[in-house]
Amino acid sequence: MNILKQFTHAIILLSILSFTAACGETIEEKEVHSEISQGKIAEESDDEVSSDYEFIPPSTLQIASIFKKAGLIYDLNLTNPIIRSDGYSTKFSQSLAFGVYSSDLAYSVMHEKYNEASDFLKTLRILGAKIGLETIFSSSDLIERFEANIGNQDSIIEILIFVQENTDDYIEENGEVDLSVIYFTGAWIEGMYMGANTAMKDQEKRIGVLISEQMTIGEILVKGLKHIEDQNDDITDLIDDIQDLVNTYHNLESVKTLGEEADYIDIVLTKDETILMSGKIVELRESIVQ
Amino acid sequence: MNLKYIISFILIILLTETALAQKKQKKDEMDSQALAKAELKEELSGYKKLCRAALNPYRYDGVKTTQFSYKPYEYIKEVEIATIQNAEYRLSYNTNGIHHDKIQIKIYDKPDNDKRRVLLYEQAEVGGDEFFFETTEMIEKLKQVKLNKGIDSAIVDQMRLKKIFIDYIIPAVDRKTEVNEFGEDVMMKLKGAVILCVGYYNL
Repeated sequence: MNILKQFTHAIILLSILSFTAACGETIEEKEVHSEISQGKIAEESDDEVSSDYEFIPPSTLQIASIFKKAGLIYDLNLTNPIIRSDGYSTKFSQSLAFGVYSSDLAYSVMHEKYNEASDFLKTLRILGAKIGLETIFSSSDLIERFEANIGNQDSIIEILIFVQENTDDYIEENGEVDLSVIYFTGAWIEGMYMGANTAMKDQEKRIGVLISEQMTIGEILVKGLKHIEDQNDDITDLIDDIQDLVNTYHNLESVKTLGEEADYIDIVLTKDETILMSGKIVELRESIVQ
Repeated sequence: MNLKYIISFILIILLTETALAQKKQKKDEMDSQALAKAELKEELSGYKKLCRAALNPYRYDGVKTTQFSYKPYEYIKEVEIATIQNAEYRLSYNTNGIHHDKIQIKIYDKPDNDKRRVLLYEQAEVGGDEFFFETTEMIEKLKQVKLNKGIDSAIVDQMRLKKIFIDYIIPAVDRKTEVNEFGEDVMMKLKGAVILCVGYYNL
């Protein structure tokens, strides 16, 4: 009789446990209902709705192209050494480096330095895998196609655009917009660094104009970085550094003189202003690649 | 005493059965949601290809798919684009992801919190369509507005657009309750998507 009682208790306990488990899982999965028919989409959740702030930055290829047109010459020493790529251990530093090497790739391609470009592409593939972008480089024998087209700039540029389209699509379809803001920031800083070095050495006026133009993108990136969900110390430091650069620009005499209309005019900076801005850009770039 | 245990046991078994049935129902709903998302992804991917193709002969610069839900009030979603150098840009749109009320597009030189901003382009009744336009006319419009405001023509001549702010004005749509396949009332949120591809003239 005692055994029967214990058996009954055990059954009741088991039943309670299974009931609790069943209820618990139900609550977890309760959130979303959706329906799709003939392209009509209706959902309860907002998880497929875009962020409040959206922007489209210029491509690394376009930035490299305008600096080249302005007289920027190729110097391999200006690019970030590939050997450093193994040393980036956090997702933040790897994402920034992904941008930096993307810019080095575009810079090398625009100057027809294809062997160097090929090395940067391989580095991007390795870094891409670390930050979850391996899919982009795994398709269509990318590296092989790149190497087979060395010497044919139009084809190489087509391949770079293909990589960019794939990256953009992957970012959008997998909700990785925050990641893209960080790597574009890396690319932007590297692109400006090339220009800033030339401007400091050669006092090239046209490059000074391009640096001032890039501050428009700096303002957009600050907003983009501020919208990143995980506002950790790395992100806030980066925001502060770019904001400082943008503020320095807005306080330059050549910019202040134009007042509100400075928003619409390509401003020719004075020699001192160009050196001041270039120095800050070089400092910012060194801080992100170390 | 034994009867009490047996009744408790039967009750718990019944409740467990109900909970498991509910769990299965939610799982089915989750499956249909995953299917819906996959179908949406595929649909938008197809539109994106068409949108990019329409950039030709402009060189691809970027893409932005803006997904939105209709709310019981009108609101704006804004996309900012940096336009560098004096390059002419083409904005290619695919709005076939809008299956419900059509939206408006308005493009300005400044963001929506700036009262001084100038309207550079507008298009009403946007949805279920593909179209493109270039930035050249917007620059001319900006210059005209600045001249009308009395700004020196020497300064106006040097002007160009460094940024544009694209506002999608989403109309108000009342939310409806529908009964799902399990007989439950579900509040429905209608959604839509606009795809914008940007290209620049490279020569």
